[in-house]
Amino acid sequence: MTDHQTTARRFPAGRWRRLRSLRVRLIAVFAAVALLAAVSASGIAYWLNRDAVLKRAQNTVLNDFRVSLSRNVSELPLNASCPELAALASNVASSGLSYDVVVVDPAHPECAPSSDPTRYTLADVPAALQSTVAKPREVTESNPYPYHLYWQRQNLEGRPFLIGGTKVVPNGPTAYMFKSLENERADLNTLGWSLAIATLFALIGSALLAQAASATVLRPVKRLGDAARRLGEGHLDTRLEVDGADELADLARTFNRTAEQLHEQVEELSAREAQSRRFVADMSHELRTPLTAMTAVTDILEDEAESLDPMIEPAVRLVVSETRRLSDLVENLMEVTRFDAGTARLVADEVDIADLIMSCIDGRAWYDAVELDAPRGILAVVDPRRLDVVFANLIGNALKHGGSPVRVRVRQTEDSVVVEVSDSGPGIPEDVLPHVFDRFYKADRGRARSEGSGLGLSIAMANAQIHGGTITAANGEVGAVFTLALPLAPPAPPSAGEAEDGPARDAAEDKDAT
Amino acid sequence: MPFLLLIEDDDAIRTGLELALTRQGHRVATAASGEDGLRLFKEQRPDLIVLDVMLPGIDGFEVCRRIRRTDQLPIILLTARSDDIDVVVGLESGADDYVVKPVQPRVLDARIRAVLRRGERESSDSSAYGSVVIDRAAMTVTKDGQDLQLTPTELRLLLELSRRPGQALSRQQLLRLVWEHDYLGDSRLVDACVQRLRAKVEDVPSAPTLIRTVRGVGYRLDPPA
Repeated sequence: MTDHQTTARRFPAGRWRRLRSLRVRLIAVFAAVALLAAVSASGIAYWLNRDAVLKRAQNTVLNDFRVSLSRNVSELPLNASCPELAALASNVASSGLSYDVVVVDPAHPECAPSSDPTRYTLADVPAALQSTVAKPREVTESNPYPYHLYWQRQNLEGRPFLIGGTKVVPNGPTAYMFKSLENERADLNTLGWSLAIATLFALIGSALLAQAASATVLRPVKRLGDAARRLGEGHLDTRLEVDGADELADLARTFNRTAEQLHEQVEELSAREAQSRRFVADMSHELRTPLTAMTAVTDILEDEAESLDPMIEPAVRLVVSETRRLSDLVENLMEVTRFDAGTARLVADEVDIADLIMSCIDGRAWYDAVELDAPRGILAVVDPRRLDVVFANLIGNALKHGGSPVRVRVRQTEDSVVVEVSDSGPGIPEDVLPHVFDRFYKADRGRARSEGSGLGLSIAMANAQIHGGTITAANGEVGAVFTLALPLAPPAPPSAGEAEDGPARDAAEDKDAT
Repeated sequence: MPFLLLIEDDDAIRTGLELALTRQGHRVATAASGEDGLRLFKEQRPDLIVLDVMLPGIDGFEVCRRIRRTDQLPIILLTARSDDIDVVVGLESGADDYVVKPVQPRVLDARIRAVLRRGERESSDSSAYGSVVIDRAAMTVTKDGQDLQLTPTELRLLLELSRRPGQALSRQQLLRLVWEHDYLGDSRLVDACVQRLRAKVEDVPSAPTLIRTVRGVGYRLDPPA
């Protein structure tokens, strides 16, 4: 962990992740294994070969040298002269295996003739070899001769040579042989190159193999990753094809099982939610029938209330006012269920926002309590009924909770219209501010029954949103400020809103566009 | 005293609305089903029908369509929902206006009176637009000499448009002029009525030459050149 962290800090995160990816790791491991195997195999092969090649060349040359030397030395007179020694050197060298010979006789230390004096002289013979050759070994049962043939490999002027030397008889001349190992070196070099190339091929092959292997592992892993992402995006019917019985297939099976269970749970939850929404919708619908009948007669009751018994009149008034409240509540509930079910539709028309607000204020006799600052001529494509609900809720709320004067200011920005409703009240407590648009949330908990339904602002918000706009609540210098921002035209596909008023209007608008 | 026929299947609503409408000064006949309503309509010839959409047996839309085959009297729909398919289907089947339950009797009364006013005669002369002749005094429209069967709403719409030939009227203006709605009017009323009117007065309703759409504004009556 610590190691990971420190290392991670050294690399940029992305690069580090790439370096740590399974593909890279697999290739690295494969390459390391291939390199190790190829290098050790080639190394052993090279050394064995080298040894064999050199030994064979050496033995051939040294044997030939020994035979040729003993034959020639036997013909050499005692106390041979310098030219005779030179003849010996060239005779020994002429055996056909192309080596050169230098002969040294203790009787003529200054002579030391060579078969090719321009290239090989006694000075080329390493001193160590000279002293070893010159040193007689004790004659025992296992060692019948005092002098032996010694050899050494030596580079002369950068070229490899086998230098061998021996004394045939005590006090007789000593002969040294120079054999170039150039050919062998070339052969070994060729071998080395071949092995290096083979190693390189093995490396490339292993990298390709690793790539293939990682692909067989990574393809399912990628599929799994994609499937998991789709699942996360909400496509709960995402499943993987399972083939084989390996660990990845097992993982895929687990994934499918998990997705299955998730799907079931989500479906169960949404079914339950739909059920409860259905219930609220049905209930408010059912409530509406008796309410319609009651509302129909409330006007009669209200008109007659004054002429009723003073004991009965308050009861009648109570029934009338509560029927209206119930009616409003049910209407709001139905509106909310329509938004929840997504069946709320825009019936849009181009209207003057100032006119709309005036009509809203006039219709509710709020004219004296509201200061309106709205230039005429701001036209927007809105659903007038829905926007009236928004204005009525915002202004009504400001009047009820904030207190007059309520100021309504309308202004137009580039592509939207902004309506600000501010009151002169105490403002909204900070802890309530985030909840003002919640359903049935009442700022004053102590007041169990307020005049509103508790749905007003949430319906206003939903109505703003269906227009592609929004409402924000804040505290101004004095009182609360609700700001409605609406686009001048609703978003292009207002769900099926256009489609609904479409049949008539589309036909009307499109057919005679000349 | 206007004579209304109220077709509503729920006993309580029917009784409540009958009480309220009677109190507003209307004579009200009631029916509990579409079949009964059609029968009563033929027997008693009311001035206006208030029609519930959700009826057992033949529903309100069908009742509306059947009445429109022969008669052009005003029909006001009582719908349960204000902004779903009910309204559009209702307007397409020939209704003049609609109210949403639970309706305030005052609102319904205002709508009834507004619809009835549309059929009132005007003291004015006639004017001709190509083959279409509008006789304001007789409140009749003829096309190629043939009487056109227009509902009072369609007639009023045509009159309002023809009063300002060549001038575009917005849907909201038309709602105020014809339907006497306030600023919250439902523009679908105008669109549906224009469609029905075109079907009757235009030579080719899908390619109108008389009642033209002014995109982004509303509608305009073009006198033929």
